[in-house]
Order: sequence, then structure tokens, then C-alpha cells
Amino acid sequence: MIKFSDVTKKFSDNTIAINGVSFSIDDNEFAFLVGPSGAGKTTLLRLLIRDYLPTNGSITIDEHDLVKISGNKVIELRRKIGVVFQDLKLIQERNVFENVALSLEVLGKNKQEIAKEVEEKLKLVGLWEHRLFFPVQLSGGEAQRVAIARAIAGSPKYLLADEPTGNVDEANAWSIMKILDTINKSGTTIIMATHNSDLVNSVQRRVIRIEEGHLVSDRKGKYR
Amino acid sequence: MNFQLQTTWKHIRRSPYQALSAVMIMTLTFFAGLAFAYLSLGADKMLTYLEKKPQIILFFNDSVTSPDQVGDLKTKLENTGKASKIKFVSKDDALKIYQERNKSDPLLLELVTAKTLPASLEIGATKAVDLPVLYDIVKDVPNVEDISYQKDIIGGLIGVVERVRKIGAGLFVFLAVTSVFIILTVVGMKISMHKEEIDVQRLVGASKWYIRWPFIFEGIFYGMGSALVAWMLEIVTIILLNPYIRSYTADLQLSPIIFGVSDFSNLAVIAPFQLTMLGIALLAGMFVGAWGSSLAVWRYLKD
Repeated sequence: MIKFSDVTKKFSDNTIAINGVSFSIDDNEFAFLVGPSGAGKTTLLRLLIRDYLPTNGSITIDEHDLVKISGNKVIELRRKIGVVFQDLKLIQERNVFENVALSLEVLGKNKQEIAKEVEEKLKLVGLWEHRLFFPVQLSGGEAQRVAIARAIAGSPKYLLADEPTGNVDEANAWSIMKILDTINKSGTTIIMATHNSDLVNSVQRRVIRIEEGHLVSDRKGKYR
Repeated sequence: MNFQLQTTWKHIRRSPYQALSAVMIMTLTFFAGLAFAYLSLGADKMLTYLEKKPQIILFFNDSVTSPDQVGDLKTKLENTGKASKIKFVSKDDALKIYQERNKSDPLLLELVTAKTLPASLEIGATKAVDLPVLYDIVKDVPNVEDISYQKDIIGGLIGVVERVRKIGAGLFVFLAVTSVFIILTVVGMKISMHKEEIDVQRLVGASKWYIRWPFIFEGIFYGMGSALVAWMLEIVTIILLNPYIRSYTADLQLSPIIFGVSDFSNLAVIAPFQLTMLGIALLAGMFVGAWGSSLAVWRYLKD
């Protein structure tokens, strides 16, 4: 379970990215995080992986209090959370297989385990045939799916997806949404930041709306 | 650890020119270090050889004919604990030595008899630095016509050995520090090149040491690789210089230095000495490499 309690994030230039935000997300839930650009969605996701520390308030993920957590526990926490970054962060020098394997190498899995799980995840996102391609050889939608495969390698409990359908056409957006839905049904809690109102309106899931750092609505259903 | 080693190898393979330049510059360091080590060992060997030879010889007048006459002096020298050898050479013994040395020249043999040769006392010091102590004891002994004292030769050699050691150590330390900075720069560049990969590794839960090891291994690889290359170059150099070294050190027994390198038919002699030198060079390489790369990791991968 994820719990935000009165969380504020203020940067050194005095910009307040998140202002007194409180909400909780249950296990196995699928929640959209929506709002205009600069609303604070990415900051919120980065607070969840403890890339940032909150200025005020508390964030807990299962037994971890992210403010008090020690260095080793941060590693443990991050292994529970898969992230699809807005800029994907695919490593250009690694091929598709190696990019997905990265998360598993970090977990200390052996070669056979890695090979088996990478194959499974790449088949799930429909890119097994592209396993030897390098990121530069992929289309936008394919690159997004590689990023998703890497995020779910190691079967994390939580998946944070920052604009996973950004910069792809409608068909690819739906394809990605279907993959995320499958992952959610297998027991992974998903928080997806998006601008895609059509997608949000169609799937009828919980929608947390943030504007200028404030939580303005939290309900099931529509983008607005 | 296997993944880290594979990552290290990938880093090296993907920027071979950086790796090559690091190894080449560090090879120079270890080549100079090994050259001074060999020089220092050679000089040490020469010093030991000279120490074994009698360094003070007292030539007596005709009144001294038997060892009993110098018994007190012998005891006094032995009591210092600094004499390795005290040998009385009678007139007859001196003649035998003379005859042996000049057996090919009958004319010289005819001219000399035992009466014409002096009895002598040959004294060797345990350490060359103790020579003046022994000389002080014998310099005013009565019935001595002449004293042969190798103080200048030994003293000069001690000075040379000391200078070789100091210059060698100074140069090695200077080059080693330069090498550390070269590794720091090369590994620092590699860290910058892999910044994105490191960020991703951090965010997917890699431990600090999972990220750091490949870079530290890279430094160790450069250090040990260059130590190995330097050692091989050193062997080739010594083999090439061997005829000249032999001609200058004709009857000195510099076996590990000369025969240990050049006589490849005798592996039992070569192997222990050369492998020890290689082992020391590899350890030094590992230390310098690990030091440089650890500094880079500390400087550029603080979090």
C-alpha cells in the first residue's frame, strides 16, 4: 500500500512542486495521475522511488517510511518498484535484451534465470523478435514497450509509468494500455501519469488529478 | 561479481584507445620501476660479492712467520663480531698462491722464493659499512709493512647503490602518482560516459558497490596489464643487454640477474626469481590501479 500524508516538495529555487498532497493507493489498484504539464506528476513519481525527499509530510510504501529509510532499504524499496521513465532511459549501447536484463542483473539473478524472464517479458510486450535490436533501431511505440518490459522484469510489486503513451500514435497507445492492464491483472499495482484523456475516459479507473502541486480531485472515472 | 567483470570488459572493449593509452603510459612507470629494481639488485649482489673478498690485508715484515704471533690481534678482531673472515697467510702459503697464479710463466716462478714474499693477514667484514671499525683496530699494529684497504672502492659502491635506490624510488613514486592521476582521469571519463546507465542502475535498485566494482576493476586491469607488459619488455631488454653486462661483470656471480634471465635452458634458476619479480610488479600494478580508480569512484560516484 502507498500512502501520501500531507506531502510538500519545495525545490531550492523555492518552486513548490507538490503542496500538501494526501492520498493512498491499495495493493493491486490501477490509478491514473493526471494534470497539465508542470502540475507535479513526475515529481510525485520521483518522490515514490525516493529520487527526491519530501520537504514536509510523510510517504510510506508498505513497511517503508521514505523519509526515515536508510540507504540499504532504499535499494530494497527500489527493487519493489518498476519505473517507466518519461524519457524512457533506454541505454543506447545495450540491445533490447540487455536493456531488459539490466533490472535482473541488479537483482543478482543468474544467466539462465535472466534469459528465461527476459524472454517472458519481451513476449508479453510483443518484442521478442526485436531482442537484438538497439534502441536507435526501434520505433517510438517499440521503445516504450521495451521500457515497460524492463520495468516489470523482476516482477515488482508496483509499477510507476510516467507518460508511457506520450509520443506514440493512438494504436500504439492502446496497445501499451492493454499491456499495462494485463500486468495489473497479474497483481501489480500501477500508477500511470498521463495526458491522454481519451484513454483515461475509456478505461474507467481511479483518476487522481493534480494542478499546480495541489490534489484537486480523486475519483473513479473521467479525466475531468 | 561475474556481471561486474563482464561490464568491465565491455567498458574496455567499447573505448579501446583510452584503455590502450592508459596501459601504455603506465607501462612506462613499471618499466622504470623494474629497471631500477634490477639495477639495485645487481648493485647489491656486487656489494655482497666484494664483501666476501678480503677487504683489508696486513702485510707483515719478516719477523712475523707463524699465526701464533698474530693470535691476540685475531681474537680482538673476532670479538668485534664484525669480521666475516680472518685468515693468516704464511710465506709458504703466499708462495703457493703466487705459483698457482703464475704457473704459465716459468721465468716469474724462478725469480720468487718464499723468503721474498711477506706473510699476511686477510680480513673480511660481515658488512661493508663495518670496514672502518676493523681498520681502526689494525692500522697501528706493529711489524706491519703495508696495509691494503679497499675502503674507497666499497665506500664508493655503497654510495652508488644508495643513490640508485633513492633515485629509483623517487622516480617510481613520481611515475606511480602520475599513473594514479591518469587512471583517475580515464576512469572518470568512463563514469561520465556511462552516467545514464548508472542513473538507471541506481533507480532500479542497484547497490553502490554493484555500480562501483566495474570501474574499480577497470583500474586494476590497467595497472596489472601494464605491469605484465613492462615485465615482458624488461626481460627482452635484459636479454639484449646481457652480452654487455657479462663483459663488465666478468667474474662476479650475478646469477639471478644475468643467468636467471638469459639462461633459458635452466628454468629452475630463471623461474623463481623472474616469477617473484612478476608477482611484485603485478601487486604494485593492482595497488596503483585500484588506488586511481577508487579515487575516480570516490570523486564521481559519491551517492
